[in-house]
Amino acid sequence: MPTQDNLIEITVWYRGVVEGRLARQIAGGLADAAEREGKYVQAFENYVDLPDRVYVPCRAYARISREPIAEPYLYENHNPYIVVCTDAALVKGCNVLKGIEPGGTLIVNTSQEPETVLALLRGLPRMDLLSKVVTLDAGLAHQPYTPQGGIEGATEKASAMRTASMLMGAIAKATGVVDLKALLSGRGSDQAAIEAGYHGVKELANPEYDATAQAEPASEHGYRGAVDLIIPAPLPNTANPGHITSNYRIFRPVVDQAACTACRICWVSCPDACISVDADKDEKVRIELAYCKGCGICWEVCPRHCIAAQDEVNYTDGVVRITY
Amino acid sequence: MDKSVRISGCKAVAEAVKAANVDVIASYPIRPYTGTMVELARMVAEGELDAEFVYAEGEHAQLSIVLGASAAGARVFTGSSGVGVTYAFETYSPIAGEFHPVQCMIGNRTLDPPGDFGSEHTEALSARDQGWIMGWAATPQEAYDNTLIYYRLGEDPSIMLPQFPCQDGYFVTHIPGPVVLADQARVREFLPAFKPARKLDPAAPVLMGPQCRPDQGAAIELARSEVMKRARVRIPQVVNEFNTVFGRSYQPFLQGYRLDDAEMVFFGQGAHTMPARLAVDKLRSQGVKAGVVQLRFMRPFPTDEVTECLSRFKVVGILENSNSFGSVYDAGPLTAEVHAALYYAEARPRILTFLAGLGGENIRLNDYIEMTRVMAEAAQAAGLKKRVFWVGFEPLTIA
Repeated sequence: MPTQDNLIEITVWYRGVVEGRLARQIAGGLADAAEREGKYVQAFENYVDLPDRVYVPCRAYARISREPIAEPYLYENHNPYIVVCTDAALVKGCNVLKGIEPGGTLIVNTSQEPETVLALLRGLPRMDLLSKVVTLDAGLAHQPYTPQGGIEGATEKASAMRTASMLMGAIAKATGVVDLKALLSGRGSDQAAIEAGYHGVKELANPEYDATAQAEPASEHGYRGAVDLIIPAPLPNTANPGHITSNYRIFRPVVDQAACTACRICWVSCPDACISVDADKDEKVRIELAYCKGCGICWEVCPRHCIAAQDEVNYTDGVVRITY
Repeated sequence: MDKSVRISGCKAVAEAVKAANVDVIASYPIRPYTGTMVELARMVAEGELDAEFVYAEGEHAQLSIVLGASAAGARVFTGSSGVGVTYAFETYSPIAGEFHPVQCMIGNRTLDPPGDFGSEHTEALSARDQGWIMGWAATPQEAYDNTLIYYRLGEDPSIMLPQFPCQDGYFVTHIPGPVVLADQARVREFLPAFKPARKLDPAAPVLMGPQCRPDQGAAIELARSEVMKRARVRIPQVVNEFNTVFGRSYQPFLQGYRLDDAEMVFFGQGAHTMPARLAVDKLRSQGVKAGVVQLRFMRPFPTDEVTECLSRFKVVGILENSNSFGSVYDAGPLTAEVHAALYYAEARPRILTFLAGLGGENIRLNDYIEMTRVMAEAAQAAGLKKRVFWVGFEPLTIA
């Protein structure tokens, strides 16, 4: 367990708009359970992420402590002991282990095996601090996006309670941060889902884990150099390498080039202009995966149904790990 | 029945607006105050609150809408953040000068640049001379309470002034904290229905805000000044009454923390006074005689209270969360006002200014401890070569 002030930080990575409620339910549910156990708690959301953009990776936080929380007004969990991902593609898109406490745990909602997640993590700095990878298939918590209002308020109606409850159960089992009894005793808790999550986890010890490895201290302050507010920008109609958005993607569009008639409906429909069409090439439709957000419009509009949505986790390319 | 919940400052204000049974709400989204409007929109849509909810096309329109509604006798609510606050600037003086007790919450956000969502008090303080009551909440509970206190104060027949209840973006607007939602009967007891003596009424027409002659200008300004002075007298009465009705323990103007034998104090407003308290707890356990003075009202500024309170200490460290470029001592409005208030004090403390938390940056526990160290240094030194510090950017020493 972490030593700093007995404070345990839990970071939940989720998808903007469609999973905001899910993330709040996980972070808030864990905090509530710990509060019932007599701990000091906080549950809140990251303020720098852009949670009103559909599918953008975002973070919600919980903090649980035996003592009063010494710094309650921080923007981030700088040193999470428990990292939760609501889908496995987040592992490809973000450095989810950033700042992790020695001996920390990664818990991923996926139908894939923990070995697959571990393979996706390979090459991340400070793998020596991660003790284990845990997976649970709690189901994707969101439906294809329909506008319902912003994430910052209270208008989202779709409840993600079952997925949230399963993941809370998995977190309790894998880390012991809260007791199962405390979770189950929450008013209106989905006890069956909590139990299912608790008993449904798959754990894999991280072979790179080094119990003697020390964490790097988080930086106390922000940037201290000069900031130039006039910066180079890409030419019109060119890609912007400063704004890669592939880590929004959970499902990857894959084109059946033989069935494609190069009708250009996907090309005209893509909101991010990342599709190019050339009827004379074997690869008639080319999708710029660095910018494709996996929004699903192309596979919805294709009249011949020749664009398929494939789980991003099944591909080893496209690992970007955008730094937040 | 009172109800205990854990909610953000944004939601706390929405709950207070509902408890105040507001008639007209004008909204336009901007982070970080938006959460209040989203919650109010839900309350109106689901029938929890019977109010007219107007989607304005911008902040200037928001303020214009509530001006008209207030003139017609409605209790009104609006709000904004950052550049939204400055976009509506033109409306502030007419609303105050014509005595419409509009409430406009401000969830603080930096102006552009950096416009990075972070909390800084600059946008609100730029409107401090417009004749509005203004002050900061440090917690969601205080934000809830201030909403009710400000309505009561602003709608007092002898005052009739608009109010800017401010709360730091993110720190208060977004981080949930414990809030006791008051029993409705108590709210009604403390805050009766708004019944202005004069209002827009087609059956008895009046003209509000007519064109004035140049020779009337000074008299109008004097009257506005006198009303603000009356508010300063009224605040302790209203806050004490609030304490009695709701069982709280607010000091009207200056909330002191561990001041009894304090030799040095942090002086600030809003969220940063909370981690300052935690730092003081830690320092006290090491024998450092430090305390915190939280300013609860910036307008009207409690001159006598500040003079009396701060002159007791050896060193005052101002937590300055606003930049006033090129101002006296190259700091912010709080620095100027505190120095002015202490000029005629019998005993003057040494005053340091800490420009900290600008752009919404976190002020860390270690920063407070370092600030206290330089305050102790200042208490002993023969003179102060340096009095203003950008925390985290330069060594904290007066030598």
